Amino acid sequence: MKLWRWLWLLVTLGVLAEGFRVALFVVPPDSAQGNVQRIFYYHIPSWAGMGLFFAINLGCSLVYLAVRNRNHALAMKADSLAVASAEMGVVFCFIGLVTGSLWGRAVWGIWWTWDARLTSTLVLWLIYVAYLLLRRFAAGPQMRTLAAVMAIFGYLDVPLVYMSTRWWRTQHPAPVFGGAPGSGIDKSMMPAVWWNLAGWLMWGIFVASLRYVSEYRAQKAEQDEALQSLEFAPAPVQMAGGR
Amino acid sequence: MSMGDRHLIIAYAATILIHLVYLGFVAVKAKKQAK
Repeated sequence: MKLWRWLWLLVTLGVLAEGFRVALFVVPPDSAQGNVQRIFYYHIPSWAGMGLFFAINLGCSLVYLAVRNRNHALAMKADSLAVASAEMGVVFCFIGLVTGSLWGRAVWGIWWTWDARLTSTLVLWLIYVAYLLLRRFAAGPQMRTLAAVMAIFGYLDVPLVYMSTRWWRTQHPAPVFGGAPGSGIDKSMMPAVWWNLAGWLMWGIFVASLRYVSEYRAQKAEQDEALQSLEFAPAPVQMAGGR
Repeated sequence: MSMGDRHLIIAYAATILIHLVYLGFVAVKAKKQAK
């Protein structure tokens, strides 16, 4: 692992530790929900991370489709980053669903309900799991192109998830940030949000960078192997015409 | 399995572990408050 990655990891762990401390021991408990509301400080960063990494996946998929026949090196980098970001997005989405479910059990008394926000989020997670499965098990030269197209269609669900609590009446509460006038949380709670948001996004970037390197090396090795086999392939036999 | 893959598995496991520890702390605090 390169030095800059170690340094990034060190700073990230520091930010995460501070976020952990502030969220548990510094900010006051919520006046209505009590200490259970502290799930929020890990719930929100997972959705922010999911949004960021699925957006990176979309960007990389578009780049891949645009340059795949003209600039093979760039296409390989874009495709590797697309896989890395999709994987990280799936992890964040899963954590968001689980922390939300635990919070729902404590506050609503139910683990799950088929409202618009929860259902569209589950569908989003399934779409990206399908994307990763396609990449893992499909073979052939068209796999990467298919995956990129699937990523573009899959991303269409992201705005739907984001707007679901605005467009429909849901069990899930209305948006806390950027919602109706008067929405938001008390200023005394904001440090826990900022520290954890920064920490988890930095962590996501770190893990995705590891995954990117691993994927890029695998694709490069695959390409080198293919080129080598072409080099050593026997010359085509020429049939001589006879009388 | 390469060193990079091993790092990656540790990173994903750490992601889940940190969340579990945090949620454990939240559960303990919530239980204490409920008493």
